[in-house]
Amino acid sequence: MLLMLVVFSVIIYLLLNFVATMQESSISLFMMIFTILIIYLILLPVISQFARMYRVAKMRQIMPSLLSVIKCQDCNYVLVREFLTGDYVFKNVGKCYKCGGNLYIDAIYLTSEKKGKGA
Amino acid sequence: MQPLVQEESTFVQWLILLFFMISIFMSMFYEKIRFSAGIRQIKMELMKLERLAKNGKELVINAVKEIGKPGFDPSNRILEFLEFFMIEPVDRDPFGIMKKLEHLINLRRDVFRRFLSEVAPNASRDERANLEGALEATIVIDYLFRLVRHYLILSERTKSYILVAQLQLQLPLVMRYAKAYFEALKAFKDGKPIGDGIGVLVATKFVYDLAKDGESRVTFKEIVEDTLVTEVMFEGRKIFVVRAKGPGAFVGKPGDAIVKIIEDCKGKNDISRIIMIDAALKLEGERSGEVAEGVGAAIGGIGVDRFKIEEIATKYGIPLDAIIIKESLEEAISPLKKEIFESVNEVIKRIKRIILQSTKPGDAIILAGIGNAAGIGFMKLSS
Repeated sequence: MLLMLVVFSVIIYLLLNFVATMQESSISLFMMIFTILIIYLILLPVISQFARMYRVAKMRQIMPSLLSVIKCQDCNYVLVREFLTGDYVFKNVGKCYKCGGNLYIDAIYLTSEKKGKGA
Repeated sequence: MQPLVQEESTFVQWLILLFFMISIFMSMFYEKIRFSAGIRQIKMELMKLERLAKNGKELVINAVKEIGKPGFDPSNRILEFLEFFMIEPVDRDPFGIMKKLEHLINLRRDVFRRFLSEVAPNASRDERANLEGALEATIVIDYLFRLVRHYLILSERTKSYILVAQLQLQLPLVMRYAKAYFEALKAFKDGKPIGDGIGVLVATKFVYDLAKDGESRVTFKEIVEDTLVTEVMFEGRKIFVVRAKGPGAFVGKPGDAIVKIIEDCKGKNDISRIIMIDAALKLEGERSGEVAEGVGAAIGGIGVDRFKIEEIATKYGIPLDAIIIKESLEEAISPLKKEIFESVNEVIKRIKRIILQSTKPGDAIILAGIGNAAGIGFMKLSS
């Protein structure tokens, strides 16, 4: 760390010596770059805060949802709905409206899908 | 090129002096600055941990009140119980340690169940098992909070930068575990299937797939405590399928069940192979739900069941096949993810291949689906 600071100080010393030998037009260019750099450093926390907010908003769009997949034992009827308390895999949940066979929960799993797209 | 005036050179000299002063200041106080920054960061994380522990306790207390409907306020009893501990047996003389471990684990489980029957008298057996899982998760979160607080206070008292640095390095992992256990708590409370239950799900789906093909009749029997067994026929082979009872958060005693099946079949229909399915921890970079095959007893936990299965398999020379489904620790104790669920068909395909390649018609095989059966029930089917 100390070594780094010494190296850093030497670089700054050389840079400032270089500035000291520059003409006025070059100094104004250097000062402009320096000002832009300072403004950027001041704005950096604000920019990073906005970036974080954007990331959070994007993550909220991808809300994980727990789904229960209901199937009929006899026909190909499949229904996917949100998990309800009391659901469990292989639970009988009534009769199939198509063929009258037993409906059961075939799977319960967590999906990460974009909001608004649905299951 | 014309050099600048003398005043600006003096300004440069001042600047250099300032940099040197900063470097000297940093070399003298760097450790103290890092120490205070570390302490501040740990305190912030500790606040998050405390919030998780507090919310966990509230969730468990409310769940016990809602499900168990006790005639009194169980809050204080639950808070007292969170500091429950088990002292592991002395291992300097390892002879007979498995029996001692098993005895202590049974004792621990009995104490948990007795406690839950006291604070949640109206809960069903499955609901009590779910509450037991939720209580265990709360105990872990509370312990993590107390452990981090202990090291924080210790580092502050000793002013040890090394302790702070160690704690700071481990904190991201501790926070990951605490958040995962909080998810587990919520999953157990609502009876949702978790990633660790994938072995149980595979074994049960294997049975129902065969039932759909009209090859067998399905009736699960509880042959040892919290453990179910059913017999199905596949391509002329008799398969004993072992799984934990569900849909409560039971893990059962697969070791005892396998030993019982082998001993019962001895002389009549000797077991020719044991196939075990379980979730296993993946390495970072591996895909969740990836399936791998190997040999040995695929079962986690403290080792009692693995010991029993290895003993009996060695005694009778029965080959042990293991199929694992890879997932992270967080995934193992959080609600089952779709990508892990999708591995079920692949595992069933591999089970069938192993059975067809390694056994012949007339053989008897044990298929054990290992894991927590939270949210995974069973149906009685007859074809």
